[in-house]
Amino acid sequence: MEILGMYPTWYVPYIGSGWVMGITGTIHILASHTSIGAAFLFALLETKAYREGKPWLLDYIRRYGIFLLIFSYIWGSVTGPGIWYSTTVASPRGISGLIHNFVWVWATEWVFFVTEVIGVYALVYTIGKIDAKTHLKLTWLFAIASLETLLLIIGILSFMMWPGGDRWYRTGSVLDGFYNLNIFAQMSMRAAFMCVAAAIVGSIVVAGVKDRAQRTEIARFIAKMGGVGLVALIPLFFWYVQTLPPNAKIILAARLPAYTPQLLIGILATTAFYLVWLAWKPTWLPGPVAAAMTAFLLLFGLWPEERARESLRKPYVAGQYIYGNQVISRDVPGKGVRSEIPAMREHGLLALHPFVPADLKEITPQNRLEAGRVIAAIACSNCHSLEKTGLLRPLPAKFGGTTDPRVVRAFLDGPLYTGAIPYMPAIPLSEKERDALAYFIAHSSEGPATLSAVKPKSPEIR
Amino acid sequence: MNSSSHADLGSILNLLRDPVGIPAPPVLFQWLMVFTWAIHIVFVNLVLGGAALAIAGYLRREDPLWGRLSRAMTQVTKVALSLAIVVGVAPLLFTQVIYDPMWYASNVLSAAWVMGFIYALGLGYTCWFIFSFRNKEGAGAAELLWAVAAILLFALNGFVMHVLSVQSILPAKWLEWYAPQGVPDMSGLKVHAFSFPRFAFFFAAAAAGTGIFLLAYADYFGPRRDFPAPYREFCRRIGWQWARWGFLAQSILAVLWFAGVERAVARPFLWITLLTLLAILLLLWNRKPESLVGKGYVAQSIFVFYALIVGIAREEIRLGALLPLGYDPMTYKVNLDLSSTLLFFTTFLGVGGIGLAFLLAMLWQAGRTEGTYVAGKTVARLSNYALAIVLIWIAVFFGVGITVWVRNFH
Repeated sequence: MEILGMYPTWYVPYIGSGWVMGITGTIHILASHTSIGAAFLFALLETKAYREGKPWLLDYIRRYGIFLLIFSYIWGSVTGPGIWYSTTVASPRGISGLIHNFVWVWATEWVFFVTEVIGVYALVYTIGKIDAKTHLKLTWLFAIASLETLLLIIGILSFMMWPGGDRWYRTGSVLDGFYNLNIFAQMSMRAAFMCVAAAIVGSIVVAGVKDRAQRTEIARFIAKMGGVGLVALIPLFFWYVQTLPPNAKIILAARLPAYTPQLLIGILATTAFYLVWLAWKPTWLPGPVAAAMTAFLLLFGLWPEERARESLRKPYVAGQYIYGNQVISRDVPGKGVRSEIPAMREHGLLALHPFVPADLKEITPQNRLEAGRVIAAIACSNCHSLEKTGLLRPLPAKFGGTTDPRVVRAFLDGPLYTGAIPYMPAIPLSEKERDALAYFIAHSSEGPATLSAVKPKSPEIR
Repeated sequence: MNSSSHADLGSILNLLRDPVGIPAPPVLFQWLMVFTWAIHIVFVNLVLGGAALAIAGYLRREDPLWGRLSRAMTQVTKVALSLAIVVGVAPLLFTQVIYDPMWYASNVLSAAWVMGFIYALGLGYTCWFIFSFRNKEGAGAAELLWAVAAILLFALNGFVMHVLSVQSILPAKWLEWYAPQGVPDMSGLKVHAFSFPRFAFFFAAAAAGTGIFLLAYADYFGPRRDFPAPYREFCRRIGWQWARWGFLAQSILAVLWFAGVERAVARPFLWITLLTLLAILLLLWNRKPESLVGKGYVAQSIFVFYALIVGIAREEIRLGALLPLGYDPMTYKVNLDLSSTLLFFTTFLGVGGIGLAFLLAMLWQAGRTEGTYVAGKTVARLSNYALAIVLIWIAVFFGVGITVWVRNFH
């Protein structure tokens, strides 16, 4: 019998490992996007300072640069590998698939990343200490290197959504996977967002500029940059939607929270209002208001966006060939990869999983609950909390809180077994496994709200 | 995992490999992994040792020389930490390419610690940044708390990385750790393996590496009048002391570490590590600090080379644990992808070579100049080439990209 290349499972009660990834990713996105946008802001401002003879602009760059070192280069550079770490523990085969397809792309990004990190220290700490022309070139080098990190990572992120057609599956070529249908739309959208992020975070530093005339000039400059980004975001978003896979469009239309359009419009309007205010009344800009606007962008802009992007990918985590539950869902002849669904259909999940203890390979009435718990953790927990009050699409609630295993079984036997629902994986469990999973889910809906209700039972008890 | 026989374990380890394969021969990734790890660990050494020295100096800051050294090392640690993180991305990447089963399994088993590592690193980094703003002349004792918090968090990070490394080479125990008594524990809250000599070895390396760095630091600032001779001599003397004791401790810990390695006597790089350590010790012990004037760069180069030897020894230990089980990274399935291989190596040599050459040459010269530094012809040319190469890179990126995209989707 074959064995699937599955790893142990990490389960985080209530929020699931998905939220851990999401939180880390959201922090990283704000920090990294701000950094790249700010790099271009620095380059443009410094060019202005150089051409118009306004050295005081350099003081703003230096202060924003130091702020950026903390904001982006501590938390951004820590949460960058943090995304790797969080996906490693939450979705090891997902990150593995991406790493093994795109290792050289990531390695190339690393070259620019090194240039960027050395560049930002050089930029900040040599202002006023090296000749103006050399410093200007250094700033442009930093900006372009920063942009190149974005260009590279977007190819991988957009591949996560889908390759865009059949070609990559046939050729396995990195070029076909990297330059997928979604890449340029996502790239432009993110570039526009960077301008917005750099302007809003930069306004925190603007708030500290004492000279009114200088503050006004800088504020209007960054407000203009943010405004251009914000206006561009709207058509680019529609282009982005056009390049999504069919399953994502179904989710977008039917599965996102009902308030999503209102939320999007609200965020755009608030941001536009803020930028207009920044340009119109820059002298009235308390630091806390600017900081609050940054927090607003993080909590109401990026967090829902990240959650939505994660939802749109469902049921896959990478390239529409790896499911969220780590099972390989289709053949990729170009890479010699074979779908694991037929093997699962034949043998079930537990029998093929190398990290399932021998006692659980065979389901008995005695170990049925424990087997159900393990199946739920392996097959469902990447997208669902297992507790009825969990925050990540709680599994018991998805079945209406039913305590009747037969109701759950009907779903497991039908749409889930065949993969008939576009945003759910096909999970062809064996008869006994479906029985155990149904029993576990029904049990989770009973009495106590926590998974501890079905905490592991020691072998002696069993 | 359900069988204790080596053959079964080996076949499962091989099954855990990513089915996609790798885009170039595994030996390339192995060498890149070892090489970038060596550079990474040199900066890690400087973070741990530099932070410790900054704290030691802060405690003696009544003495102006110690106070100045403390402030200098605070800044050095700050930059070294950034570089340790950014350089560390590369070995982390390449490890996942050829040792994915080991790395992923080990990480998931202690997943909560893995995530703790990230946030502890961010927190420690932030604390150190705050300390770097506060460590000024006349600063009060309370500021030290930031530094102490930071170094404890850095040590915790070292502990987590150590545990993950050791766990990764003990695959026979993974299932027992994951499902003690047959019940899976999915909390990721436990750590399962620890080797004190191996862990402590890298802290001793931090002392040695920081000592060696100080020798180069004292030489580097030689031309600057605002770095007077007494301060530089002081730095050299402290560097010499830290290097001597650091290498001595490393030698003892290396013997203890290697003694616990299976068939250690048959592993050449363990011997080479020990012999290098003894040779460096002998050199340092027979010299006085004043005889090291002008030799700082040579010493620094030797230390980087020594870190590379340790990296190879570490790889030898890993292979020694995995090969007998039937896991050989050299047998990883290769799906050759020339375009992305070319992308990396041209960028590595072009951007990495010229872009970094400009930045480093400019920083090197500016750092040795009092007052405003004006770039000479060579640095000015390098800056132009660096800008040209990143712009050409973008043109190629979009040229190839649009061609492929149009071909595939229109």
